[in-house]
Amino acid sequence: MNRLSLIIFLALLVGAPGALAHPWHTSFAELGWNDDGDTLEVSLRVLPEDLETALTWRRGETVVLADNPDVRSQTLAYLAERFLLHSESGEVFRPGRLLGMEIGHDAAWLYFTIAADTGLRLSLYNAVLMDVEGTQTNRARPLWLAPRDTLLFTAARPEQSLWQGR
Amino acid sequence: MHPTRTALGLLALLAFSISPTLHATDRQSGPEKFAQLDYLLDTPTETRLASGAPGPVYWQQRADYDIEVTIDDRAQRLIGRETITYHNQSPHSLRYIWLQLDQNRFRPDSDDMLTKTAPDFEQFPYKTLANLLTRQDFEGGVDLKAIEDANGKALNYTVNKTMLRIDLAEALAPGEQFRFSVAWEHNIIDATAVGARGGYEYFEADENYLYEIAQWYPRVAAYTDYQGWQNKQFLGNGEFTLELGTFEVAITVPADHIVAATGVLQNPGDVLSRKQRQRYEKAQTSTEQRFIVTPEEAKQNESSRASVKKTWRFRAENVRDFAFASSRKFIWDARMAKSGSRDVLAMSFYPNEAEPLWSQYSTPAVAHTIDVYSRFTFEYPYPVSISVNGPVGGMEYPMITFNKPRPYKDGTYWDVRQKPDDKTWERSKYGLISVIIHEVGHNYFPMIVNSDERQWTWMDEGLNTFLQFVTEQAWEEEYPSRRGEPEKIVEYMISAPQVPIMTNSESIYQFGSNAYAKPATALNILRESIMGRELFDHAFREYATRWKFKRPTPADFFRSMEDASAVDLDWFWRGWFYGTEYVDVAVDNIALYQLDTGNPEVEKAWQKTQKDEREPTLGQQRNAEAETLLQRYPQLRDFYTESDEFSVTPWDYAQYEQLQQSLTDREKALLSVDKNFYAVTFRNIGGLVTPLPLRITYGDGEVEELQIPAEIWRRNANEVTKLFITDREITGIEFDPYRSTADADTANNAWPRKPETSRFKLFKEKEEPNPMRRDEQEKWEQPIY
Repeated sequence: MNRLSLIIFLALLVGAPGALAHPWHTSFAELGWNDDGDTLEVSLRVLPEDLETALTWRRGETVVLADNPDVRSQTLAYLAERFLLHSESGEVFRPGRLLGMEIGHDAAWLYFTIAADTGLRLSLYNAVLMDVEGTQTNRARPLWLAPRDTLLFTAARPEQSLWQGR
Repeated sequence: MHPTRTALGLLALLAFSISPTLHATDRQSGPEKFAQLDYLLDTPTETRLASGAPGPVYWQQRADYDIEVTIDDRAQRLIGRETITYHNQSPHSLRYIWLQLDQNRFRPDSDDMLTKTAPDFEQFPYKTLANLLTRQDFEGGVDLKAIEDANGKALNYTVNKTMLRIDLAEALAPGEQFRFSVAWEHNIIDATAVGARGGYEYFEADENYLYEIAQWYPRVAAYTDYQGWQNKQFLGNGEFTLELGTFEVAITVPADHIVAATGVLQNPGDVLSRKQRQRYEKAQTSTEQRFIVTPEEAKQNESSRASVKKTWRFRAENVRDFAFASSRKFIWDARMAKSGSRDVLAMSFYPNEAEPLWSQYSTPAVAHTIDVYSRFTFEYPYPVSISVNGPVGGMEYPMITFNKPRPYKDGTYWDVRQKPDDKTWERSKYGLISVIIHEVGHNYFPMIVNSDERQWTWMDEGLNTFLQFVTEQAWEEEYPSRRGEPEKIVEYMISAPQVPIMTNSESIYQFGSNAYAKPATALNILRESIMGRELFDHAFREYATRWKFKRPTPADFFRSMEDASAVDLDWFWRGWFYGTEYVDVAVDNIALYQLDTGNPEVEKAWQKTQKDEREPTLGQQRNAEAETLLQRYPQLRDFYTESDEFSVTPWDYAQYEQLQQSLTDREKALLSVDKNFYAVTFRNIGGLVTPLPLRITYGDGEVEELQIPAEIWRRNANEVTKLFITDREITGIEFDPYRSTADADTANNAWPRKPETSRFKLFKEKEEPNPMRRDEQEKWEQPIY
């Protein structure tokens, strides 16, 4: 039997600033390979309040989303759990470096890289913020594909084929 | 680009200029996309006219309510009794009346619960678990105590999940009224654990409750000309539509509670202290915001435990619903706001936990919303507008809205301690302002323009989100709106799976993007890029005014916008509201044609110039020094090696003379025109037709902007070639320079192509530390302030 892995809830008094009658929660990622073709470069846009909630739950105390070394380190650790590349043979490639963050009211952009073996067929597991909202919808656009080939990740389908190998 | 000299003559040239490239398989796509909506819309009647206006026999029902309700603050239970006077203003006899029992959504056996699919146990958010467990344990649902006619005689009724049918002993004829009463009770749900549209919040520190009560009384369902009874079950997403009427509501709560409600307080003398009463009266004529209950008084009140109760009486006219909030924790502020020539009392109710944000921004946001929305629609017709902070956020009811954002427990919001140039702290401020604008804006759509949320969410959420964007932008320059600008919808437009905006509320994928953001963006594009502000604003106001306190359908909106503007928008509604294609136009090919004048002196000189301008090939360059056979043996030279192919011969002159004689004077004048003819091909990759806003750069550096209407795609929606006739050389053409069309791929928007850099590379270029910061990780990771 599987054990539910639950996130310890911290009573957070901050409401979701964008809350509406039908709240919706989305993220968007642009994905591209670096010039050497061995590292996935990711620009990930999330709702700042959702990321703050996720980091707060993960840490067990209030985290204020700001661009400083501590929050960067927590964010990278969070991404390492929820934004991964898998090979068919089970290898896992995790975000290794968070280059920076741009935090605003309407969005927080996270810039990070994942070194991977691009000789392999890879799938992307993108469960970012699905621990905060069950209705979270994550979109990712591989820049080497046509615009309509955007990938959609939901709680029911958090993993999608991304790369067919060189 | 090498120009082509057209030798076809004038008539052929003109024909070329209007002939797009057509492929057999493409011919149907243009006409289909520009076909009139016809069969997709309801047939016009004398109830709903072809112009989109209500017709001479338009009718709608009416329901008046007299309600007495008590909040049991110990058991979090609501006890109510209502008398409803139902006015059958339809031309039909009714044998039964349907009521909505929205609280039955919280029964364990409700459709909402039964149709919930299992969560993914790998992705199991706390909220989902809390929601499931609370819902499982909660004894929800309406406990009906009595349903009687005006004489106290029990009525037959049937409960079908969230709907209640009351059977009438005799059919209710057109023009008749039927009065009946319902007594009921229900438990109030914990809205901090369950996503509900009303409920309570418990404050552990001072052991107090804050109630936001909505969708709480058995409400008469809508009966309409387009739907009959609106008896769709309540599953949680599709909100509601109801009949307009007058409400007299008596709310009994602990005597130390402050109550905010739809309507005007009728008995301030019974429920307010003398001081509160004086402040309340003063606020009604003051443009300066005033406290009626101060933060300090609310704080003191938290420790009070009144043993007696008070009854607050409210009256509201011409509203389709009634909601209220109650707590002893409420701070209360108010000021008079203007809506055209009308005065409106803007008020906010919030606990100390909402400070310092709320006293600074809530009531000003209410007043600002009323001001802007009134200019785009009609004067706000109600006497009050209220914003309440509590566990629900956000949700709208007539005259009252529930808005959730709060600062941190210590009173700071998003870390005000950060450096002044850091924008982080602004998030909760803008989050609060935006949600208040949105929810107060719902007074216009759908509380007054009474569209059916259970059928078409976009009719209120989409139109409201559009005006929310306009109102936010009027708050301050560069207000960080999350929705409205076309470029922000691109990622949704290219995603899959997707359903058209016109999909029923309960079947929508990607709900927020579909029902809020896409229609809001579509209307913004319509206003800024297709109709223009003057035509759009007039038509939008006309639609709102026509349907104020009436029930529009999508067809009424589509038709009104066209009727009042003289712009055929069927292609737009079809593409944006009935389809899922997206905008992606590529500037594909440019060909330059110049006119063949027929004059051999001009043409041969031009041909020589063209030849001279051609770069020699590598072979020609490398052979230049080598001696050729002809150079070695000059005797091999003949007429052809000696003659100049560009010299003008008598034969050439004779041909020219012949041409001149065949032309009229007007044709001769046209042939002498010195123009460039650029044939520019645009390819529609995304499928959704769009106007073509263009920026043209000329050789002399001047820039011209123009917009080609979307109708250019009406014959061939896949590819069109547009002719530009210019005096000057064109050195660049760019499609959509202001990002106004939601174009999905901007890399193909310009000729010559502009290199596009990914967001990641842009960031990297910006973020790379200067050489002085590259020695140690600590240095390069330290933000620069």
